[in-house]
Amino acid sequence: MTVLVLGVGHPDRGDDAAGAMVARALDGMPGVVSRVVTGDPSQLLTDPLWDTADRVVLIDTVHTGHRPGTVHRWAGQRLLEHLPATGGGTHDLGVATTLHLAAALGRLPAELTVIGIEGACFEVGHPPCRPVRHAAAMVAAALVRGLDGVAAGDLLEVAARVVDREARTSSVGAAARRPRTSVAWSDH
Amino acid sequence: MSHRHDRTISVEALARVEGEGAMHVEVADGRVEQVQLRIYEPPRFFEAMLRGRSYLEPPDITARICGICPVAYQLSAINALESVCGVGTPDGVPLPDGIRQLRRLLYCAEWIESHVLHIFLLHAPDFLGYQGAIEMAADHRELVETALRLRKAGNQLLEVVGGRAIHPINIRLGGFYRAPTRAELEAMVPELEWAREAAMEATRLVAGFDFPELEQTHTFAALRPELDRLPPGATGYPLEGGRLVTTTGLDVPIEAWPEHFHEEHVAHSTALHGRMKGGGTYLVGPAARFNLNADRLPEAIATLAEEVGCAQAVTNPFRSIVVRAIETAYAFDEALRLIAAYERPERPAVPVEPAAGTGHGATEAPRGILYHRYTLDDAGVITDAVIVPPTSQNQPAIEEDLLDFVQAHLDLDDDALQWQCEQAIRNYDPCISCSTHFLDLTVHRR
Repeated sequence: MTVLVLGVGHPDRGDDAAGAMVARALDGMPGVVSRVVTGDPSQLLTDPLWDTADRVVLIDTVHTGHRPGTVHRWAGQRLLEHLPATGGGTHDLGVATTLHLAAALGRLPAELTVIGIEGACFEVGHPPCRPVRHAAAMVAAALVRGLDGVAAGDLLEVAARVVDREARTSSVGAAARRPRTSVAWSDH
Repeated sequence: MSHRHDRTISVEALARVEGEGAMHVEVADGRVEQVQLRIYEPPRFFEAMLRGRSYLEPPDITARICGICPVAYQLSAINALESVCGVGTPDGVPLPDGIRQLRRLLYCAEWIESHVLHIFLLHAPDFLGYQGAIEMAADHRELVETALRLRKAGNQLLEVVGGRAIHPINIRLGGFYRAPTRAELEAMVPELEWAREAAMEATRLVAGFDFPELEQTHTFAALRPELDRLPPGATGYPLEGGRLVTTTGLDVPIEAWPEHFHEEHVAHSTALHGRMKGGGTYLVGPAARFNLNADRLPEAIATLAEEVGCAQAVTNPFRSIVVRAIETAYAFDEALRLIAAYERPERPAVPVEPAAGTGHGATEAPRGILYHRYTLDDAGVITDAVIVPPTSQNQPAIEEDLLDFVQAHLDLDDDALQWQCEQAIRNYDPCISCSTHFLDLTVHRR
């Protein structure tokens, strides 16, 4: 089974890094091919694995007014109803419009999950805020637990990668590693 | 309602253009009195932001004005600043061929990325009768799939030369931070060869669209490269520089820009309006480039242009989509020529020392001439900056064209008229985000 994990967003623009954090944490896990998508999302449709992977998981930062770090999950046949196309400008199509374009082309993956991590700060050069980093770690862990053939060591490896990322991005590394107990998940 | 003598048509937010703007049309007694492109996106004050900063910074700062044509901003800034600092000038520090080849190659990639998106995903739906690319995709799957692959080829070229597909980071004053190897460029050749053929086929397809009648009488302005200053492998269609020429006979170095063109404030737009000295409107962009430089196209692309009905000057703005397609095929063809002739420079950049003075630079952004002017002090601190993007220059001419177009189509009801007006605006591929440094349509029929 091949799982394509797509982390959308800019790694150096504050909370926009959430998708990249998850994708990088899962890189090399058994059965996982992960990509960080920093450019035009419509390029997803030219990735050969888009059509051939057994499962596609797309993680992006969202800004819907919920608390930072809230995790939204969209899946199933009504996924697109929750993600309206925005029409696009002359610069790129955006994630939602790309998914609608894929549907129009008859190329939506058989199993597609879109995960949105609520962000608040998108300043260039800033690290993601603590709630977003924590949510990214929880999402990565949840995705690893859903993989076939994952050993305990793999879970530890993913956890270590997220911790390492936190240590490098936070000016208060010790505090950043302090565990939090919960992340708000919202299924749509 | 159709056949009313007094009408107001208002489009409050234009779709499939970049940025935020509106269109307002006033009709009284069966005559169009006024057409306004109301650009309400806030001004961005980039020129003021640049004052007091180092001469090294404009390529990176001005690239942020636009996400689809950052290379144009980078290279216009570099041209202006290097001319002050004596790099690439007749008596100054010479730029190695490889650096000049990479700059032109990077520019080809930007044209591909921008033109392909606009032709296939933003403008083609107008001609094929769809609200947008998503609605079009179900019926024209092959066309959309081809567009995505063409765009990917452009993105890959940007990544290899520029470091990444959006806002390239590898370019600097004096050259690049790293020059790609021949092998890195040659690895893209098979896909670029496919893309050149696919772009030529796509040009034949869009040339078959139905084009509403509209003839322009504007002056066209474009750059025209000096052939002896082109890098090895390059043909002479304008991209990363050249002399300033117009269809009214102007042929001057870019330093003469302020003597012939200026910008003015208008009440209904946060973007300045460009005009020729003396008040005339003019147009920049693909049609202007083509009309002034068609003789510079290599044989295969010139033959293609003739085949698709562009043997003569293109004066119907609705046919600009055909010119963009021709230019896309050209960009792939030119990229292949540049890669074949590429000589990796020994050093990726030459040193650029600060010098006092004023420098002018211009390149052909996908939407037309992008002009930069900087004044530096002895330490290389910017004391003045002027940036004139293509959409600002085209706005007055677009309004004039729309006035003529609406007048000729007043028999249409408001919905049909609005549809065609929006299509007409997309002929110019306006970038409001660049110009504020657009669209709602309102037609008021009284």
